[in-house]
This record gives sequence, C-alpha cells and structure tokens, in this order.
Amino acid sequence: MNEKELLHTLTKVVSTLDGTSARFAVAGGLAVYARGGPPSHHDVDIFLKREDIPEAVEALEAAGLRRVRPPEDWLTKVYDEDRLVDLIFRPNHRPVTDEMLDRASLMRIGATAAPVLNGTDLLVDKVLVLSPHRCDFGPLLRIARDLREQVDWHRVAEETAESPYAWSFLTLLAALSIIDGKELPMPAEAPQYLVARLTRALAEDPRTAELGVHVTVRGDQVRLSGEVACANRKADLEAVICEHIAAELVHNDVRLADVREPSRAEEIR
Amino acid sequence: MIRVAAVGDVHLGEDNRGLLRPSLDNIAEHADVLLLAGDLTRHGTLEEAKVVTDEFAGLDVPVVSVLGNHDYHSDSAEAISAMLEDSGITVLEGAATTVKLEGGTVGIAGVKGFGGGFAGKCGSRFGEREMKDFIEHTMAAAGRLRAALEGLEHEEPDLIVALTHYSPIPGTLHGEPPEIHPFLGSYLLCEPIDDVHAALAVHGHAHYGTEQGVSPGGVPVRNVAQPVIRAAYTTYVLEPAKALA
Repeated sequence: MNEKELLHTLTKVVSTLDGTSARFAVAGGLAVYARGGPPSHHDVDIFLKREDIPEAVEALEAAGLRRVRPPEDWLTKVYDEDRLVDLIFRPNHRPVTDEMLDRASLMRIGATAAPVLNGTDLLVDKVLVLSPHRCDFGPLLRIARDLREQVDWHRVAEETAESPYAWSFLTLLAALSIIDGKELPMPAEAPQYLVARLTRALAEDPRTAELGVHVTVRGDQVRLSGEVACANRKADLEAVICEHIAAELVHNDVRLADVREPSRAEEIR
Repeated sequence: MIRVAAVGDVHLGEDNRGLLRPSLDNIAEHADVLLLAGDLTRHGTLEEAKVVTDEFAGLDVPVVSVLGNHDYHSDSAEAISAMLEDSGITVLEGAATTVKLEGGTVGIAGVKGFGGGFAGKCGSRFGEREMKDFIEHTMAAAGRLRAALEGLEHEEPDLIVALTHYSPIPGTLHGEPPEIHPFLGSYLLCEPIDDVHAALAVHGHAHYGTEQGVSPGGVPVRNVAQPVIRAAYTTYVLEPAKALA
C-alpha cells in the first residue's frame, strides 16, 4: 500500500468525521508522519471515545466505507476498498478521554488538516505496544529521534512505568543521549543515598529500631553487619531491608549477642 | 577489693526475654555490684521495661542503672525509671547513690548524657534554636553529673564511679565512624569525671567502639556496650584508694 493511497483514505475519513459531532484525533503512523516522523504505509488509526463510535461508523458507512465487526473489545474497523481504518476507543487498555482529545492539535496531513494526537500521548501509545512478541526497537527508535522535542519524556516514563519493555526502551534512549537520563522512570539510586535510606529504615522502623547495624553497598549487593540481641531481630532486619531492595541482593552478616558469663575480669589499678 | 560488673545496650524486648538471666544468677560469685549503662529496652515501652525488671531484679548484688536514648523513644522514661526503682534497681539521672560493700563503699553518679562531640570537633551553643537546644541538653546533663559527683565527694566513699550512656571520651569510640562521634558522646561529660578523679567511668551506646580508654585526666573509661564486651556483663576489679594509701 502506498502512502498516497493511505493519505487519500485519511482525507475521506477526516472530512466525514468533521461532519459529525464525534470528537477524534489521528493516531498511529499517520500522526507520527504528521509530526515529522517517517511515512506510514500501514493503516489509518483514529482515536475516539467509545460513545461516539456508532455515529462515526454510521457516517463512514454512508460515505461508502465498509464496516467489519472485529472480535476485539478496544476498537472497531472500517475499510476504504482494501485500506484499513482502525477506530480505536481503548488503546492499550486505557480509554480515550476528552482530556486526551483536548491535547491533540490541528495539523496538516497530506491534503487535509485534522486533530493529531499529542506527541507525548503518541509515544506512550507506541511504547506500550512493546511486548514479548513485538519487541523491535528499530522503528520506534527512529520515531523517538524524530519527535523527541515534541514529547514530555517524563510523562512517558511515568505512564509506562509498569512495562519492562518501555523501561528498556527508555534506558536505551537515555544511553544514546536521545533523551535526558533524568527522565527515566527508575533512576539508578546512588549507593550513598541507598545506604542512607536503608540505615534510616533500620533505625526508624519499629520492627527493627536498630541504630547499630551497618549497611554497606558494593555494586548492587547490600551487606548488613553489626550485632543484634537475638535471631528474631536478625530476621526482622532482613524483612525491613527487603521492602526496599530484592532479597537476593542482601547479605545478612549480622552476628548475635553473646550473653554468656564473662570468662575474665580486668584489674584496674 | 571491689568488683564492679557492668553491661549496657542489652535492648531487651519480648523476643529476647530470659536470654540473659541464666548468666546473671551467679553474678555474686564474680561481682559485688552491677551497673547498667542504658539502652535497656528497644523502644522504651513499659512492656519492655517489664522484661528488664524480670531479667535484672532480685539479683544477689545491688543493681544501679542509667537510661539510654532507646529508653526515651516512647516518651516514657519517667515511668520506666519508676518501674525499675519499684523492682529494686536504682536509676540515676543526675543523681548519685552509695553502695556499701564488703571491700568498701562505692559512690556511683549517673546520667544518660548526650552528644555534641569532643574537644575541637564539637558542636557549639550557637545559631539555630535547635542547635542551641542540642548543646544545652548536653550541658545540662554534664551539670547534673557534676553536681552528683561533687555531692559524692563530700561523702568520701572509697571509690567514685561515673555511669553514663553516652561516652565521655572519643578513645572508647575507636571502630565507630569519626563522622558520628558527635552523636555518641561529649567531652562535657568528662570534665566533672576528671575533676573528682573518679576511679572508673563506664558508658555504653557505641556498639562498634572499643572497651578501653582513658580520660584526659587519667581516669580509666570503659565502654560496656554488649556488642563490645561480648558477654552478659564484664567485671572490673578496683582497689579502694584508702587501701592503696
């Protein structure tokens, strides 16, 4: 499918939807293209609110597009000849909202002008598509480079924080200096701050109340040393620490108090 | 000969109830008096204080104690002191007690003390109210210790022993990071100890410190924090000054 045909379909869809009361924004590859990214040859993605879908579909059918009923519960589809138009109301499990549509801005795309999804929303959507089976960073890397000034990367990091694929991709962008490392959702904590945080936790958490346990960090390993009164308290130290870092990184070398009778006395003269 | 046993920082709670007591039952064979250098509890609760009395009350030797910072954590220090006193343990906070023993009389002056640091590397009563409060708290503790020690001097016991939770000297803090010395003790506590030429000064609080030190005036100082002495208590054998004379 060539770019020209796809833009032709977009023009038809936009002018049809403009005649309805449905609010919409162009998303996907054409939005990337509108914002200066690489051309798209795939399909036309339109974001709408769920309640506007029936009116939009009816208008598009009246304009000669062909409706299909896909099994998915987050979009519906129409065809302009063999060109697919996705009408998406719940991308990546998040409903399209008025706020999202408010953030879209009117831009030229080919022969038409239409609301185009905000750069940040667009990248959130693109990054959340990454999954075990769709893990190709290549095309996404180019999009990130082309759109980087139009994106609030901090919000992308926040809104994709639950995805390890997103985290990996953003880490790659930081390593390539495409974005600032400060935008990362999980900035690696300096060992000094980690030691301070863990030491305070051991002192202030009522389960431990230990001021006399030393925390040392070597690489990503954390070592606890010192002495506590009984085995129970040694275990409590670990319980508190493991709320902050992964258990397998903790080495608990804390010894237990020796409470035997003394074997000697010191003469002081 | 007077045998002074001491331990600090036992941090008792329900989970280590009963662990110490077996080692204390025969204490009279090793010592004539037992000093507790504070931090008897973990969170300073009355429940923990009950464990303290169960462990330390009713021993065959007199028990004299100061409280530590942990014992103040729940703002119940007075009630804890009262519980310990009711169980027969003498609690000192800017006060002194004299114990008559076979080998002579021992006057013990005690105070929790506080931080501030040591000569040349210490906080000053200057600037923010919080900073002045910090140093003034130490000054007040040192003042109470002085009054208690000087009161003892008039009684002329055979030995004077100073008991604190915080350290009066940096020497027994070796092993602790120097950066935290100002939180571990104050030289202000040491001045009155030297002025009365105490026979011994005992403190706790510094778990990583070392046991033995000496004050600028030559008074032996011992850090008896349990992680330092690695025993239920440790014993110092002292010869009363009169006997030496």
